[in-house]
Amino acid sequence: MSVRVRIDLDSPTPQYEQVRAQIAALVTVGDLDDGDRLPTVRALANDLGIAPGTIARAYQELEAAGLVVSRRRIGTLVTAPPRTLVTKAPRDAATNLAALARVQGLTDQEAHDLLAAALLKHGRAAQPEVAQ
Amino acid sequence: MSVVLIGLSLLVVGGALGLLWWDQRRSVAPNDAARRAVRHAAYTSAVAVACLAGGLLAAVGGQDSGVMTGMGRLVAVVPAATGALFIVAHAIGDLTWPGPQGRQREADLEVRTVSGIAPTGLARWTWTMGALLVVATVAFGLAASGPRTISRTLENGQTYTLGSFPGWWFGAPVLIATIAVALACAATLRVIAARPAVVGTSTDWDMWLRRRSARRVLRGSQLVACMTLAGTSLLAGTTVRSLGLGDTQGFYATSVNHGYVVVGIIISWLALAVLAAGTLVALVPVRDHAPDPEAAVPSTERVAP
Repeated sequence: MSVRVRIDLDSPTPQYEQVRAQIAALVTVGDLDDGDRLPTVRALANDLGIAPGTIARAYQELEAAGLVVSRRRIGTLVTAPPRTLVTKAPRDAATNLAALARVQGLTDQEAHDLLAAALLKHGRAAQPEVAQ
Repeated sequence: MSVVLIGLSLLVVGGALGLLWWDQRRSVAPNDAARRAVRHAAYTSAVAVACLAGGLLAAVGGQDSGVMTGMGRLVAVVPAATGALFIVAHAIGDLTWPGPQGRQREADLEVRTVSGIAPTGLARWTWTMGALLVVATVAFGLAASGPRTISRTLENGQTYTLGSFPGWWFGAPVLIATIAVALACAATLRVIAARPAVVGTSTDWDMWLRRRSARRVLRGSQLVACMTLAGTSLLAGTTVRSLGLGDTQGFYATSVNHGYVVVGIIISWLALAVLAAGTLVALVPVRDHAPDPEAAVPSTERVAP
């Protein structure tokens, strides 16, 4: 099975965010497992025809979110955190939202906006403490 | 002789380019991007082969015409220098590899490593030849009695010295050139592994094209390593044999030492064997056809929501 990411150069979403969001989604749904290696920054940037700095930033954001870890000589490894693995109910709800959006003929952007609106309505979640 | 040399040069370069053209024509390319990629790879290899063959033939011509007489050190590093040109041509070709076009792009999250694209046997052979060259150069340097001479002690206590022998005079530049070629080869293999994937092709097809590029780089690298090893070993073997035979006609009539003669002959034969093996590995085709896009089973694809 091959796992792919797509970017749209015309999208208002920054390219690094498109890459970050897709890899985060792939980790969350389990298509990328704990310990899986991601391609090197240069290889993925070459494949997508974008600057290596864009991929590097996406990887940095993923690392900051605890979804991947970068190690010298090994590369970037997926570290699926328990937080994303045990939250079955939100995952099921998200799946239902996606299915419903397809049935109702909503665009991806509209579905994203709906979720963003719901998140705003329920206030900001408590940020996890970061060890200094 | 120069006409023969020019004719031979044209024959070798023309043959190599013809082989590349034929290889490009028979390659199965599933789409236009793939055809462009195969063509780019063929042009890259054509330039690289022209650099390699041109450099080697220029050196042969220089030797033949006497221009390079007395330039032993230069002759010793010619294979490595032309090999470096060959590798640099490949590196430039892969750094300028056609990237994806269009506003919507996608990429496999596939990890590509050098070990994944370089044929294992060929890679091992190439590194072994490089290591053997380093070991042989150091051994000859240690065995030498001077920068480019070797000696043996006669029965009467006097020493009998002969040259040219690949001591440190030849060994130092050969070592530096060998290390430079090895580093360039390793770096180019990394470039091949990281170059853009060919749009609209399966992972298998893309990896096949990378394997082919890596194989060409390794073949050229091992060829220059084998040529340098064969050249230095042949020089060493011939000199050691002459040292063993002695100079029965000279002022100091020296006796024959059969040990030196046998060692010299063995080294010379080993040198010829290494040259033959390197040439065979460089030229013998391998069975690694492009995956047929018609027969390929489409892989399951997962894209982030």
